Amino acid sequence: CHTSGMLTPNGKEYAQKIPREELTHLILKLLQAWKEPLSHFNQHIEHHQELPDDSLSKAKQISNMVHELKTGVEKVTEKARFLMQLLFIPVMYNSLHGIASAEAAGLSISNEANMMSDSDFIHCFRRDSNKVQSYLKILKCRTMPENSC
Amino acid sequence: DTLQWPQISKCRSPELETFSCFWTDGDFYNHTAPGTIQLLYMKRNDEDWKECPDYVTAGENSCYFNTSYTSIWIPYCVKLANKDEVFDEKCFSVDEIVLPDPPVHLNWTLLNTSQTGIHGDIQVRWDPPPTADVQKGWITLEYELQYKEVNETKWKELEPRISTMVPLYSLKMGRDYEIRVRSRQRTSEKFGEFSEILYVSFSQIGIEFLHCDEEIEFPWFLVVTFGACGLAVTVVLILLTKQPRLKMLIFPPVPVPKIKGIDPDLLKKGRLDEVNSILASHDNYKTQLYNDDLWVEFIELDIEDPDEKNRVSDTNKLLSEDHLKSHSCLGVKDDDSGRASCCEPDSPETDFSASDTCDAISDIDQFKKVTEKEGDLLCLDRKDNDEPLPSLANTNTQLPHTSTQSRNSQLWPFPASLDSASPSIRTQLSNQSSLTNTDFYAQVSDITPAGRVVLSPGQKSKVGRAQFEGCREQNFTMDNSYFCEADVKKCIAVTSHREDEPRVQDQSCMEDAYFTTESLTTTTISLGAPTAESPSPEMPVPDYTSIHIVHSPQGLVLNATALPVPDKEFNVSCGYVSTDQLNKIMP
Repeated sequence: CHTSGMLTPNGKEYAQKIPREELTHLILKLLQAWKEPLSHFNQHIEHHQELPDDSLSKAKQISNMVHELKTGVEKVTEKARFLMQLLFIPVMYNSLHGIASAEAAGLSISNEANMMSDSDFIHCFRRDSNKVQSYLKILKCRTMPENSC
Repeated sequence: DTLQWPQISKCRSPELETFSCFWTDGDFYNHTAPGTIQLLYMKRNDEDWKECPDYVTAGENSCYFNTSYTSIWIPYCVKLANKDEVFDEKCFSVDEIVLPDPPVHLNWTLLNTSQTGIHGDIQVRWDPPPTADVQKGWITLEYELQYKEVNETKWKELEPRISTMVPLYSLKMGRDYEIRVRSRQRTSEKFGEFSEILYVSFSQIGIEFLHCDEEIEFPWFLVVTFGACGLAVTVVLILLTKQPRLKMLIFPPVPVPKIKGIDPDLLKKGRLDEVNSILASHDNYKTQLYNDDLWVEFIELDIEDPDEKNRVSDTNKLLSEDHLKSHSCLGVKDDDSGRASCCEPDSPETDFSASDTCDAISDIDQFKKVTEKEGDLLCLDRKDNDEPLPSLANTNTQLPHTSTQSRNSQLWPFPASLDSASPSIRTQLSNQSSLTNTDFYAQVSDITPAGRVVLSPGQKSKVGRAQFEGCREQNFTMDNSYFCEADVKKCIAVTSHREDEPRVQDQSCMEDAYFTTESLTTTTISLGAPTAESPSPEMPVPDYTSIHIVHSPQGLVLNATALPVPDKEFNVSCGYVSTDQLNKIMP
């Protein structure tokens, strides 16, 4: 997987120890690293005749969802940073800078994704989406422990 | 008997923090020397196989990896091996092998009972497995509940859901139930083990109920039968009722096809001009619905309602006929003989409709649409010329009035000249009213090279335009090998004539004029001075003109005669000529 080089927490303790901003940064980096390969992949499978239409539309849907998720996380991060500054909580991590660097890092990784085969692509994407989901869940339960945590 | 090799039966992680692998011995121990079976594992980045850290915790023939040895989302490979040989190997990543423990602490509470006391609703609750850290959000679980009556064999399943409580509706109070729950990781497909079975017995909570063995079912059969009968009776009654309103209410009449805005009575009475205008607003207006009879009727109507004509008068129709596409009638001549020789060159229809170069005036577009088949009309008019003439004579004076007025309202480039022309027109027409056997249109003001004769009160502007149009049409026929000889000759005259006209006229038709001139000059040698015979803007239009074709480069001669003598040549000439013949004809 092209994102294998990224240093991500691979256990529960590590994920819980890591500061929020860094976790957010990681999430954004992951999402950004998949943006380009997903669109590439969509174009690639559009020419496959044997795939049913559901798969194609599903793939497009997934690309959109990833993009929306990324945008959403960025927005939330901005708001959180603003809020914390308002409350005079020291923000160790400049999230604005963080967002930009996450994008850059993600983009640089995404170029390697072109080498993968289709099955590897799907496998890697599944894993990374699982990661993103877990991290986001941790973040959520850390900040808002009430519902469904 | 076959030797059963040791196999890795499964590897499982209950909470995404640890995992264990289990294997079976097989018959190996019994048969060969008991070399110690080892489980070796390797992470993706490792270089070498490592041995299992814990053979004990998970039981016999198992290997337990605690949190320090577990890395999620990283591919592992484990292999079952002896010192000498490898028995089995498996590769996976921990997030794929998650099978949660069963939920715990199942219990139920009664929600409510039905009025009959036969059915009741309960709510079942449980806790997530203690090993799974759902609170911190590390793992998200889904639960599936299954229940059945005690003496049944098949379990009823509910949809998997995330919440840890579920209502069960409409359970029979007289029976006992069994409930069990199992869980899985939300993104996985496989469920973990079932929980312990929860027994639901209503007698325990001391509810009094009527123990009905029989099930009272809704009498569907009776309902359906009576409903059908009632409906049938109602329908029959409605059909038989004399009251039209009720009947209309229940059985509304099926609407017949109707075009918006058109009253069918209009068509019956033959108010074609109104119909025309309405239909013209529809895109797919086709004038094929016109036939001879309608045309005749139409003429008659003009007598009755002379005031009504404004833009849609006959005269204007005929005047504006040069807007028509070339596919309509050509080769019509100003002739009382009623001969309508329609030639149809293969000019593309689309060119004229698409191009608006000569239609700077919106009114003319209107005309175009409304009078799309004017050519045919004109031909028919020719045929019917003789008949309605006497009745139409007295309308001549009025019609040109309206036509000129409408003309004035249009955005002609030279309205001044129009005004000057109109008095002459009126004088002409007053003269002509004495000619009872004249044509409906008193004079020929122009002949289009396409073969159409324009009869008008002699607006000179029209002349120019007609010539423009005609030659433009003509131009397209050049591409074909066959076209009307008459067209050619007329075109020559037209182009020669046109050059003399003031440049003002050309402004709206610049391209076409240019185009026409170009193509025609390739075949024509030179276009000399326009003939005096062809109608000039200043010349008062004679009462009645006929076409007398002259084999001269100058083209046409229009004789002002009461009864034009049809030129034989002209009659015949609307057969097609080839290009060679054309070249012969052309100067």
